[in-house]
Amino acid sequence: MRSCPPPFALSAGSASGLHHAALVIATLLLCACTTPPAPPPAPPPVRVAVPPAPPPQGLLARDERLALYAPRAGDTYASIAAGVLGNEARAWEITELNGPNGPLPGIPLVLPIEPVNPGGVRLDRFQTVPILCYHRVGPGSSRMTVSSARFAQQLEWLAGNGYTVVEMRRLAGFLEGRQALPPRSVVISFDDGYESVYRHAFPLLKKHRMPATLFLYTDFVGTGGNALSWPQVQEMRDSGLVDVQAHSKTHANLIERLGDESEALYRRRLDTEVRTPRDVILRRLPAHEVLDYAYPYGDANEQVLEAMARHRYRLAVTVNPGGNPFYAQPLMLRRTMILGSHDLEDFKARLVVSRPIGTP
Amino acid sequence: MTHHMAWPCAAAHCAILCALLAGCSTPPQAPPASVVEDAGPVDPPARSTRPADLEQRWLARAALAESTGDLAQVALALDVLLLIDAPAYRQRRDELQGRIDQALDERLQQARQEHKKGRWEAAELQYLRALALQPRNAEAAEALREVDVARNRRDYLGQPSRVTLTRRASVPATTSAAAAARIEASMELEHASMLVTQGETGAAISLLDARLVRDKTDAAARAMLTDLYYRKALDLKGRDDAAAREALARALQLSPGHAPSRALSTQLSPSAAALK
Repeated sequence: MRSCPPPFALSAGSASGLHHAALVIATLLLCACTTPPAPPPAPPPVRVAVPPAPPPQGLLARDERLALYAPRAGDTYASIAAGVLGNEARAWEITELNGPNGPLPGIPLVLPIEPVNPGGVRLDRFQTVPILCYHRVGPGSSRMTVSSARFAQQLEWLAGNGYTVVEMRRLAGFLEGRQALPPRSVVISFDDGYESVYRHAFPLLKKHRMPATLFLYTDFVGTGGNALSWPQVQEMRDSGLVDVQAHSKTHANLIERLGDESEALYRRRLDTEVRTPRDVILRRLPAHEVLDYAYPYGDANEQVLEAMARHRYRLAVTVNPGGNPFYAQPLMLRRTMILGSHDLEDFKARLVVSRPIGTP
Repeated sequence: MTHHMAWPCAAAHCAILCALLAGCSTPPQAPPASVVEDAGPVDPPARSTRPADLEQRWLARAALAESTGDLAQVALALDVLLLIDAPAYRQRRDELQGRIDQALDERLQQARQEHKKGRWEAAELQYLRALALQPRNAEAAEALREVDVARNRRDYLGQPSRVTLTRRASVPATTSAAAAARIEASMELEHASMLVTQGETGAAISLLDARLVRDKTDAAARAMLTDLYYRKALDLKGRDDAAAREALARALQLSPGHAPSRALSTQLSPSAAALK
C-alpha cells in the first residue's frame, strides 16, 4: 500500500502555528456550515430514505478487444451476450472468462468484444469440430442404419457431457475466423433424404433442441418408398432445427467422367449437379438459403471445387474422417460417419473435438 | 519538533476538524411530504471502477499462466488488468509483449521455411505454436489455411474413394421401378464407398456381396467388390497368405479378367512360394 503524505507541510517549530491555523480553519468551517434556521417541520411525519447511489451499470471500460461491464439486476450471461455483444450464442465466451456462476449486480464482468481465441488454439491443443454423418435412423440391420435407441443414447450423451451441437452456418463463421465456437462443438448431418430421418431422428432432435443439417439428393426426395416427402422436409425446416442443403441432383460421383465425355460436357454436367439441387430446394422451400453441399461419395476434384465456387457455395463436406480445425478448407470439410454397428464407446471415440499440437 | 513528530499532532487536529464538520452536517431538509418516497430496499454499496476482487482474480490467472508458460493467457490476463488500471500494468504488459514477439518471430521463421519446402505437417506444427502464443495472429492463421488446401490437393483431391466406373446413373430409367432400382443401386454403391473411406472395408464387402445377391447384373457393384477383395488380399499378403489367396479367389470369381488379382494370385501360389 502506498504511504499517504501528511496533509500539511510542516517544519520544526511550527506546531503552535499549526494549532492556531487549525483553530482558524475550524472556526471558518464551522461558520460556513452553520445553516439557516430550519423551516417549520413539514406537517405529516414522513419516513425519509435517501436513495443510495446506484451501482455502476453498463460498460465501465473497454478497448477494442475486451470490456469491463457491470451487470444489471436480472442479467444473465445470455442476456448480456445478446444485449452487449449482439449475439446470444456468445454467452459461453462470457462463461469462459468469468466462470460458470453467472452475473451478480455490481460485480464487473470481463466481456470479449472480439473472440479472444477464435481458432481455439491453446498451448498444447487445438480445437476441431467433428461433423457427424448419419444416413438412416430406425429399424434395420444395415451398417448405414442407426437404431432409434442408439441415436437417442448418442444425443443424450452429447447433451449431458458438455457438447454443443451447432448449426453448419456457425461453422462457417469459425472457419472465417469471425466466430469462436464452444470447446466441444459438434455438427450433426444426415445424407440423402431418407424418410426415417423424419420418423425417428426428428422427434429426438426436437426433444433435445439440437440442430441438424439434411443434405438432400433431390432426385430421391418425393419418390415414395424410403424417401422423404417434401411436406416432411418443409415441416422439419419450419421447426428451425433442420437446415436443408444440397447433396447433388442424381447422386453421381462428381469426379467421374462418363465414357468419352468432353471437358465442356463434364463441366456442364457438374454445373447441373451443383445448381439443380439448390433450385429444387428453393422452389419447394422459398426464402431458404442453400449454401452448403455434401459431395456424393465424398469425392471432389479441382473442377468440382471450381463449380462450387462458381455457384457460390460456402461449405462442402467429404467423408474423410476427423474433426475440422478453424483452418480447414471450407469446401473440403471432413466428416465422420456414425454407423449402426457403433456402440456408445465407438461414438465417443469419434467425437474428436481437439487434437494435441504436434500430432497428425 | 520534527516533521514526523508534527504529523500525529496535525492529524489529531484534522480529526477534530472532521468531527466538528461531521457534527455540523445537518440532515437534508425534509422536502415537502408530497415528494418524499421510500427508496425501498437499499442496494449494496456501489463498487468502485477499480474492483479489487476482479483485479486479484486476474492477477492470480496471470501468475498461474506464467507458471505454465502460457504466454497468451498471461497476455489476456494483463489486458484485463490494463482495463482496471492501465498505468499500473502497462509496463508489465509491454515487457510481456516483447517476450511474445521474440518467440513468435522464431516460430514464424521456422514455419515459413517448412512451408516453402512443402513440408506441410512441419509447417502446420510451427504455425500452430505461433498461434498458441498469439491466438489472433493473422499470418499464421492464413498460412494454416494454405497448408490445408495444399494437403487436400496432395491427399484427397481427384482421388476416387472407390474404383472409377462408368456410371449406371447416366442411363435414363424408363419406368419408376427402374428409377427406384437405379437410386437404390447408386446409394448402396456410395455407402459402400463411404464405408471404405472410414476404414470399414469388411462392412463395405458385406454390403456389396448382399447387393450382388439381389442383382447379379450390377456391374458397378461387381467391379467395386472385385477391387475390395483385391485390396484385402494385398493387405493380408505376408501376414496370412492363405487368407489372401482366398480373397483373390473371390475377386477372380467375380471378375475373371481382373489383371491385378491374377498377377497377385500368381505371386502367392504355393508353387511360387516354393521357388522363394
